[in-house]
Amino acid sequence: MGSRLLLFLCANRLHAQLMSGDKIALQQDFNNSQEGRAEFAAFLQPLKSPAYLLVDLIEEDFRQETIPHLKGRSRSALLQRKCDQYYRGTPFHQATLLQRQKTGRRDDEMLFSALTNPSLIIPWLEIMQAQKIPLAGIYSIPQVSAPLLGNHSSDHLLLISWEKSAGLRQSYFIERRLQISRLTPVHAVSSFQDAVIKELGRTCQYLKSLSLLPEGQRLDVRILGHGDDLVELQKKLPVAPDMRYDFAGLDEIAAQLKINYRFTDSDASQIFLHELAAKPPKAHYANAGHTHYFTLKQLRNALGWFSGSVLAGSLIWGAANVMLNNGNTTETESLKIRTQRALDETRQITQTFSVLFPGSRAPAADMKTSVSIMRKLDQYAPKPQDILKPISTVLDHFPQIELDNFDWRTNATSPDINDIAAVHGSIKNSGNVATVITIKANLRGFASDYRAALAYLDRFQRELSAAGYQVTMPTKPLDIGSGGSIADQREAPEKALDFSLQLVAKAPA
Amino acid sequence: MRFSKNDLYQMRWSILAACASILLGSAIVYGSNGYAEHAQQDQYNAQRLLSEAQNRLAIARQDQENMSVYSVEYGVLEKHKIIGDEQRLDWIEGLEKLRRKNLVADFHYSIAPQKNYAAMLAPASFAIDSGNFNVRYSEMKLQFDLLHEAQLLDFFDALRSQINGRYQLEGCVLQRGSADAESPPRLKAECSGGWITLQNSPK
Repeated sequence: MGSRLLLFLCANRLHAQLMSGDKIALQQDFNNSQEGRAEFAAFLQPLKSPAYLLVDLIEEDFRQETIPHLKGRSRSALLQRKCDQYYRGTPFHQATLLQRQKTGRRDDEMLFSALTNPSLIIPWLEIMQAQKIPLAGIYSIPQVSAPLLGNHSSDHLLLISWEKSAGLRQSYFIERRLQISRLTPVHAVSSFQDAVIKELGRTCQYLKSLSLLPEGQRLDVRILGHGDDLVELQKKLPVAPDMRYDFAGLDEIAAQLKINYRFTDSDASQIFLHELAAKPPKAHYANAGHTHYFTLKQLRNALGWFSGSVLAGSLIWGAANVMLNNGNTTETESLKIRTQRALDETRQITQTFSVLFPGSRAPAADMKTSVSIMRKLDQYAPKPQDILKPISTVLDHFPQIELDNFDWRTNATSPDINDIAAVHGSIKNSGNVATVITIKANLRGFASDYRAALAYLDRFQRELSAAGYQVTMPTKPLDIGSGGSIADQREAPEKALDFSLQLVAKAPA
Repeated sequence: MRFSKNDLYQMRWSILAACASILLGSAIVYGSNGYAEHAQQDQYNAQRLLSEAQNRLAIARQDQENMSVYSVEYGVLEKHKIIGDEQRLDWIEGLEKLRRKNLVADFHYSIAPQKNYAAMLAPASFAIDSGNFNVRYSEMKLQFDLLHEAQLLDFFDALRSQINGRYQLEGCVLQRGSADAESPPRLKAECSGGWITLQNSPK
């Protein structure tokens, strides 16, 4: 926590203390006079800490009123109108919502309050404005009293505290909500104990007269003070059936609220000041003009936080980007190394080419293609001896067959060969090319023994089939079918028995 | 709350600091984003280069294998002038040399204009993956007078071994010649085929 300037204003003097953390670094009292104000101005000269002004004045008025439950601008306008109506002469006013009614129109129960003697405050404010002191707000003792109620369970509680320079402060709470508060000035009483004894009865009567304390309702009274004073007071206070006392030692409260201060008397102002510094209430009496420099300071702080956040965010973003992509960079280096290795190996292989195959200009793929084409063409162009030799071997076994014409065709380009090959089911759609051989020949030496001639030819065909050919006979030497015509051939006994055969040899795959 | 010029003057350092932090933060974010983008682009490029290098290496390995397997046979093809433009003069000269060797009684040849071999093929029956080559085909028909069929075999052996080029024999028709009192019976043959050349396709 940074330094804060806490100001405690009562009717005739101003107490200022500069807090550094939770310790008082500097403090001074100023009389409500020209000299006092001049000293205050000099005191403020080197200070730029935010200031919290706590006032404890008799001239603080409280009014409760029920207003319709409104929102937004309508509500603001209504509250402003009420404040102007009740407290026209002072800029130090505020409206606090006590509760919303639970029945009927569910109106809002409001507490309007104001510091009705601005002349006690304005001179000090003007000094602070002139010094550009960032004033956070103007608060009153009743406003910061609520935390001092502690865990008290009472619905009707009167809190009594003593401020040495102001007097006896009595604040009345119903259900922990401030209803009214009054200050008995210090000059009217002699001591803390006397003031409590004297004023307690009056206040009780006052509350009853305002109907704030229902008839028959017991009033709980919580009295703040120094331990020694409280022991003495406990002896002096009258015992009343409609009142119950709760004595709270300042040191105990300070310990509960973690206030680092040693109390020597019953002055509770340090409790209120420390509590104000620790948890300043949102509502206060200062308007925007009074807190102008504090708003500017907050804006400066906000801009500072914004700048820091932007820088920190961008640095985190940048660092994250760099860190995340460092992995990419490492991987990139690894990829580059692998690329270089592949290139080196490629270069080595290429150099090996030039050593192993000097003068070679053709790409290897072209070499493969050209050689493959030629190998394939070789398969489809058997040498003539490969075609002639097997048939010659078979013909050697049949000397009575005289060859007239021998035709072979091994040609993928010839459509008629494909047609012929298609006749033979075994090579249909095989994707290979067949060699088709056509033999035209005649049978000699059989005279009129047609049966022997046909048997001889049949053996020839079977032998060709055994040699791997598919054999058909387009022209027969003698048509003995029922559909043919046969004539006597005695006139030409030496007439040759002509026939033709077609052989299909499948080329190797 | 309204701000006066004086207020802005009082807040000048905060405003400047905020502006500076925005500028500096933007620069950091922009720079780091640029770094990240650059790193990612580098990685993408490195990945692409690696992929290319691996492809090249695979091709080189394949080439190495192909060369070791096919280079000798390819050298023979080059030597026989099968790769490239056709060498009709070599063919004619070679055929005339064969004629002078009297391997056959007589022969005549005729060479037709060159054609694309692939276009002549029946598509389902004979498919050749010709790669970067155009397979060209110059049809040549031969007519022979033979004393016996072995002369035909000798002639084609000689044609294959002694003439630069590749002759694809596709078929022959042999038939007995008419008997003559003065000369022994002759065989007549008519063969068809073509000269194959592999020309590099224009890229």
